[in-house]
Amino acid sequence: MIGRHGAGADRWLFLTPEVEREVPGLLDRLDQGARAMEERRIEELIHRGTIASWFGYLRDCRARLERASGSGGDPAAARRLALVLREQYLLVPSIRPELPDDRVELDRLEELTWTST
Amino acid sequence: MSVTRSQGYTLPATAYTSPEIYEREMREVFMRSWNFVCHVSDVAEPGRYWTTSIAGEPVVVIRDDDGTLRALSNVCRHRASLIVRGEGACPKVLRCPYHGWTYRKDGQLAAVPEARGFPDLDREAVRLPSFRVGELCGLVFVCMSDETDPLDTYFGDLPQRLAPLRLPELTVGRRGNASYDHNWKVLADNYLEGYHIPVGHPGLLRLLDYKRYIATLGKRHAWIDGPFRDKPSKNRQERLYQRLMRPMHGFPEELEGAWTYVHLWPCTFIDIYPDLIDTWQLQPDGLRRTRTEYRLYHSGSRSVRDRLVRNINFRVNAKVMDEDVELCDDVQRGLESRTYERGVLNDNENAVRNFHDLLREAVPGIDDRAS
Repeated sequence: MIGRHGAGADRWLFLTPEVEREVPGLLDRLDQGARAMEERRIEELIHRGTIASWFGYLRDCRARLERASGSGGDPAAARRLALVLREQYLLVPSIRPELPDDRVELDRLEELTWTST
Repeated sequence: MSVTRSQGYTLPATAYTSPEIYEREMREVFMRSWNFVCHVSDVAEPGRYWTTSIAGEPVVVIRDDDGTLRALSNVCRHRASLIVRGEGACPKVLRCPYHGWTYRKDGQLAAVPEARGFPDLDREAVRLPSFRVGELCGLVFVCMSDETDPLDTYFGDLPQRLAPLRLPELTVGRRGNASYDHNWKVLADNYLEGYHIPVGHPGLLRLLDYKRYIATLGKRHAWIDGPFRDKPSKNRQERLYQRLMRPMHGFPEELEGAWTYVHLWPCTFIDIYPDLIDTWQLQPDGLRRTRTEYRLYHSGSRSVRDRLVRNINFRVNAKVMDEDVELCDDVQRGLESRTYERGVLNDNENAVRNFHDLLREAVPGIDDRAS
């Protein structure tokens, strides 16, 4: 029986739905990635990824968000993307200890939430 | 807690813990609804019978000699013994195992041992109470109320959606039952929403495309689509299923790419997989106990490949069931907390909201205890 304590390596998958649903469209709106390609990347991560590769992808999304914000991309999309990414760092301590990078990413996404208006 | 109108509240915890509400549910929900009993093949020939319990009432469904399907009380009018158990065939009459009172298949008392000992007994006036019985797409249903809508319109357009599955022609396969220490609505609520899948069933998230996991609401039913992802799963068992699974002969093309879940009010569930179909019936057995019965139906194919696929499907879903039972254990305990009043529902829980609204309609006042 696999339950709340035993889902092990798969537990991080609970993070994926909101990102899968929203991020491809938001990156597309910000001219930071083609929707279909992002959908394929995310689905590949869900099938073959790990929690480390998932957060690698999230960092990449944050970097692209920075670029979009710097070049005056759609502010509503930028703010929403920052919020969706930020939520990931708020959720992840429930399944693994906070990593040093997490705090840096969270703080930066917090700033982007406010500056992308 | 405040919510927007588009979300809504769950029923209060007292709806799951109050003996009074439970009793009203038995009378006002179960005795007034059409309850699934068995597959039509279970009572195909004259004399074949199938027993069940509806709102705690023992009921036997039996095929009469002229082919008529009947639903009768399974309680002897003499000293209240159950007349038959389980399933089976009776050659001519139903005989009570206690004192041998004997009934015809239409419920009429036929004979009484040592009848002279009952000088005032009017044999013609003694019969087993009968209930409405009907067949819908190969499934047999019983209703204990004369006021309830006819079966063929009770679930709206559901018969049109189920008909292409050709349920009457399928072979009845594996079956089983289990009892859980949960109020029946805890199990029903859990079935009706996919919001818990990412946390509770990460394996299922790899198999099904969660963003397209959508519940469509119909008249007294919910139809939940769980489309497959295109990519092969990382899990060996799931990957094997994806690779080997082929739809049953004649299975509707539009359902081939998904696992589909159907809820029939009040607590019948049909899982439609391309390789097999199952029914899962809840029978409340007390305020916090529910008996469940599942049955599998398939094409009857005995090929090694199809049997293997059905086995994998069964194992994948047995694991999901184990995970659900553990989740429901926690919910049942939480509902009994003095600090919990009621919860809030999100958009992915629309079928739960609809189910709770049906309960509000059927059991007026069920919401009243929420502060």
